[in-house]
Amino acid sequence: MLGSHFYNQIVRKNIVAFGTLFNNITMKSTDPSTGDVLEEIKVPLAYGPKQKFLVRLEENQSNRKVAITLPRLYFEMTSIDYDATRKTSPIQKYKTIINDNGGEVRVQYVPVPYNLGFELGVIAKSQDDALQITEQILPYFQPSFSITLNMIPDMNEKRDIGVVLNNVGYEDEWDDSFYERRYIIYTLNFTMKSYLYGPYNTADVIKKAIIHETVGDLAVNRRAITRTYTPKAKTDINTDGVIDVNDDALVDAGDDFGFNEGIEFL
Amino acid sequence: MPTSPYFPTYYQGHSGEQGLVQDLVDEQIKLFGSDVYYIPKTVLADSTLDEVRYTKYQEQFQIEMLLQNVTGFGDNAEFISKFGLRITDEILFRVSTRRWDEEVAANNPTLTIDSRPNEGDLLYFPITEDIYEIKFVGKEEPFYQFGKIQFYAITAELYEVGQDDFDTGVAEIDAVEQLFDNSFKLIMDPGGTGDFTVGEEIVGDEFLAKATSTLTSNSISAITITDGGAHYKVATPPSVTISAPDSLAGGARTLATSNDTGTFATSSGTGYTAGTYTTTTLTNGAGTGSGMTVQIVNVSNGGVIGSGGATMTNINIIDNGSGYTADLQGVGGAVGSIVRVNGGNNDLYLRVEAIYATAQATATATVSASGIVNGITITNNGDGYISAPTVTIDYSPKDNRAEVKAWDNATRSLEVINRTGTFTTAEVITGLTSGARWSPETFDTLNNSNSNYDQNRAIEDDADNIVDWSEGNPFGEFGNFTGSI
Repeated sequence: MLGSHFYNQIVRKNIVAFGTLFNNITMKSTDPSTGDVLEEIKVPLAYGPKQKFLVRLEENQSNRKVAITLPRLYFEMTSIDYDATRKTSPIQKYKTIINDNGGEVRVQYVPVPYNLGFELGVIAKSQDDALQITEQILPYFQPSFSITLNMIPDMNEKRDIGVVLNNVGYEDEWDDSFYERRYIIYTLNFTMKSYLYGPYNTADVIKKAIIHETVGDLAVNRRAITRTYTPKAKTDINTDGVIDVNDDALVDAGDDFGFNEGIEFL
Repeated sequence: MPTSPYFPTYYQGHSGEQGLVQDLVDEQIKLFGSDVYYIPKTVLADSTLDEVRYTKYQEQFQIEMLLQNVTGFGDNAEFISKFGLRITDEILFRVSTRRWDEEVAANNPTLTIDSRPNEGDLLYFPITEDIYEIKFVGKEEPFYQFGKIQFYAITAELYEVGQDDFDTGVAEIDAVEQLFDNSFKLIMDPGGTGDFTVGEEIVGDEFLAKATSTLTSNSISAITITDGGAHYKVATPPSVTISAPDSLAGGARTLATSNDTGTFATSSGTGYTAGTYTTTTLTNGAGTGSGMTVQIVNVSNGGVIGSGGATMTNINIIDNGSGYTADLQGVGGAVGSIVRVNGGNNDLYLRVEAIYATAQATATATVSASGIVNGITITNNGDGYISAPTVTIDYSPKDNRAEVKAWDNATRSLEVINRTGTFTTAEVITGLTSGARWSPETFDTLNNSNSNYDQNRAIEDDADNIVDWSEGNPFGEFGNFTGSI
């Protein structure tokens, strides 16, 4: 009922975009007395939700095992909510020309605003490690940080998406029994103010525009004009030696063209 | 009222009974236990937050322990957390207090508390090939049997890998770092020399200071700084090493025609042509000279070198040999080395006029407040140099270092762990043990080649066509300075 198949991978693109904000965080272990860097690593980042068999097969390949390697970052999408505050008129359309196709353009209705919730987690072996990672993230969000996403490449549709930091929580399980390990976890919750797009279709290029103008009272002194506009060729497209109406008929959307204007007084 | 010394209570014990129980405990552990490596940790701690900033494991002690119990193996100890796979295998060992004192405490380990196993230290259990971190050491259970504690109960959980440095000297223990530590790969430019060895330290020369030396009369007369480097410290200036003289001790430095007053008085020979000649030592004074090779540059006077005394500018020393003594007969001194140049019709005799001293030049460096090496003072000019020696200034503290995980000469692929910074393609990386020298062509710090958890590189690649960073990425570009992104 709703139409033919389409899949713009918009949510996936938002996930990737969110992840790439945090895939280049560096952590340095320094000598407290001299400040010399003893080791520097790129903090591992992964999208959290995974198929369980893949986790078992991929992360436990060696005969030898360890509890986990720290520090780590994970993120996942936690919600998809409609955002009525950013709603625009649903009958607006975008159009873009198609390369090497002067007879048709692509047409797409405006997207629907959706808020995508994300959670970013930081786990570290020490409080200082966790703080070092977290402090490299928080200052960029005031509380929003905007990135430009290439939403629909075929439509040349790019959108500035605001990534809003909603809150930061942390737990440090340092007390209780000696038999329980200490866990230091920071959890950052974000909202990406994104959009979901419908399908795009092709439509013929409009080659004739007609404007009916009426000046004056309808009953008294009324003057009516009909203006028509059609493309006018600027080059000899059919290579017959002259630039004339036959060339005008061959103009397409990708050509450099002028206009024929016709005025008819009614 | 004091207790009776004649009827010791269970908790007071008797030394004979205590020794017997301890013997039985030790025997049981030796019969049914396993040899476990105890690995103490050395920590660099933050005194404010009171937590470990960096850990080094540099010692190990092998001691038998009895596996009392395991928890988690084979059931739900492996699970998927938000942060990937977690394993919580737990293990309980018993170790004899007496054997602990003998095998560990007696060897002065680096422990916070010498008298017992320490929480936070590691155990390597060869059966599972895994490392366990001690969570708790029970030292009063069971409670003073016969008035003494016979063993400790160690509860340990599978080790969590962090920024730790393993250098225990036991390959299977140190391998945990090679297997699990964060690593990345560099592809080197063609044209490097040597092969890196696994485990060695490598260092780049991005901030290295450089200098050259000037030679005057076989000694260093000046050192010129050609690159002051960067990030050196005033309080701890770098050491300066000047290469050793390139002659052997006791090698001949200068020659003269023989003016021996005896058998070898004839100082010129005939029948020589331009070329290289070996020599034979004829007299040697107190020396043991041998091995000198000379070059006759040209001949004159019908094949006679000089007349009544050879023209010494026509003769070069090719190999200084060693063990010669200076012949000072002509100046009223001691008899020294006189050599015959082999190969002529009438022999050419040469006397060794001076001997190479082999003093190695030394120097010290000073560092400016901005961290640049701004002066080198020669503290010993040295002696015996034929060509200007190389001057090597120690690496800057900021120069990037790392440990080699793997090296493949065919693909010029170098994997490293424990890096202190990010290498650049402009620098030369040197293996401190192997001496191998290669320059990076490309590298990728986003791709942790030791882990299948990390998606940093995959996300970066996916985002290339999605995120428009035309106005710049404040989170940094991008783990590779060589433009692959």
